[in-house]
Amino acid sequence: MNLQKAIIILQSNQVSPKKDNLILNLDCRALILTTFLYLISVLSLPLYKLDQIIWFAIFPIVMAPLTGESYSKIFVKSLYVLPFILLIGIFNPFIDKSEAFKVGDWSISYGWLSFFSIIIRGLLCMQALLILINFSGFLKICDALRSLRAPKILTVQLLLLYRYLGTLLEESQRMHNAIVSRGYGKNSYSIKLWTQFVGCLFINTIERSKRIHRAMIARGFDGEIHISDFKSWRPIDTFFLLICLILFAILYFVNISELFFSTI
Amino acid sequence: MLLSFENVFFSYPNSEEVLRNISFSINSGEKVALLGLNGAGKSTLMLHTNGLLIPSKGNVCVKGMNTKSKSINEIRKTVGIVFQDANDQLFMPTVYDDVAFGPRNMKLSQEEVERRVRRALELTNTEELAMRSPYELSGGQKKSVSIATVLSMNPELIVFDEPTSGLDYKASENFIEIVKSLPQAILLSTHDLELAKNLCERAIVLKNGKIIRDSKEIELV
Repeated sequence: MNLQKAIIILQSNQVSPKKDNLILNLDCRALILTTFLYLISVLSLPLYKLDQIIWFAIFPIVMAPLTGESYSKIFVKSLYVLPFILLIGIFNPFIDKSEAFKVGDWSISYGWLSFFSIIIRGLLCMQALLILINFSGFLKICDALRSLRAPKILTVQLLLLYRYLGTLLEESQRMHNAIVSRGYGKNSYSIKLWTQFVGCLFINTIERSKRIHRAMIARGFDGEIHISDFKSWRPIDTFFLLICLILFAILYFVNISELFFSTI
Repeated sequence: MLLSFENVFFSYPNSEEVLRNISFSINSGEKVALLGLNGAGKSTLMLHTNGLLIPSKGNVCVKGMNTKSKSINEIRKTVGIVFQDANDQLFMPTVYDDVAFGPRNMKLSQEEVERRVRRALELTNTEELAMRSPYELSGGQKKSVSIATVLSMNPELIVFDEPTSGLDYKASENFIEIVKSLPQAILLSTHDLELAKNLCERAIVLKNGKIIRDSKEIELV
């Protein structure tokens, strides 16, 4: 059942939603450039500027509902990468123990500051990428990347990786169905069986991928998947990009938290 | 002459010859059945028709262009293959995108792509499926859409690999109706003699990689 759900989510993430508001009518390239600027801004802020990084959450909080999904859903989805982000920052509190500031009797080290900074940055970046995928669908993003002169080898790898994920899930579901239907209620299997399962899964997906690739070549596939006919870049796209650029510049160069608390 | 095989031999790496001295030709508009048991070499032969496999010896030519030459894109525009498993043929997020895949690769204008997709969907009675995901379709619908994906490229020869396998009676009837309405030449690989008689005027029989009969009298086959 979970595999089925995953396949449906993967399928739905390939295509863009129906265009019914100003943001969704923007050129995909405008949002790609905006997301790129956002990632650079968030990732290049000094590590200990936690009070400044937190304000960058404005972007996903405002954009998520405009692309048709609530921020809470985007936030929950972004948590899937949390274990990987934790792995990146987990050692910081043990390595950097110098005191940053005190809260009452509690001493907060720079290690803990950088640890939380990495988590927040990771989640915000993931949220921005999820919003981008929600906005236009994965295939169109790759097509737009190509029109922005991204290397063909990168976009083709992304496309094939995404396609392979679908194939992997579909084959897993078929094999899982075969196991369950002959399992007579048994739902735990030995490690030996699981290793055989993974081996067969790998062979099946490779074989299936070969057949799909053959079908693609038979219809003239030359390494690029052409999805959209890009309209000409409109003033509204430039306007959107500029507004976002100004917002990111303000968030980057002005410490709003400091301003806010000094005013109080 | 649209397609010709001249003394074609083929073997996969580290295996015996799958095709042995195959020679035949197909003319424009001709409808030919390729018959044979499992393992006779039908699918391998089909993959030679538009250069997906290249003969170890001999030549395959499409409108005089050798599949070993650099005109492979032109060859693939001329010969369309509908694969046995529709799940392998359909890989795009929507039916529309899948049918448009070939024409877009041919670098046609957006208007022409749109026109060809609409036409192909009309011919296969799948217009209402255009915006659906291929994953959600029934086996029969998938097969019809697979045919549309090839028709949109406007090929002169359509190759079908076991087209009715896994289809129920109604879906098979639907397939036959679609194929009968097509003016293109057809090469149809099947086990189903009734289907071959229904759609084709000539049959080639393969056994152990060799042609053992090439006849216009399918009844005798």
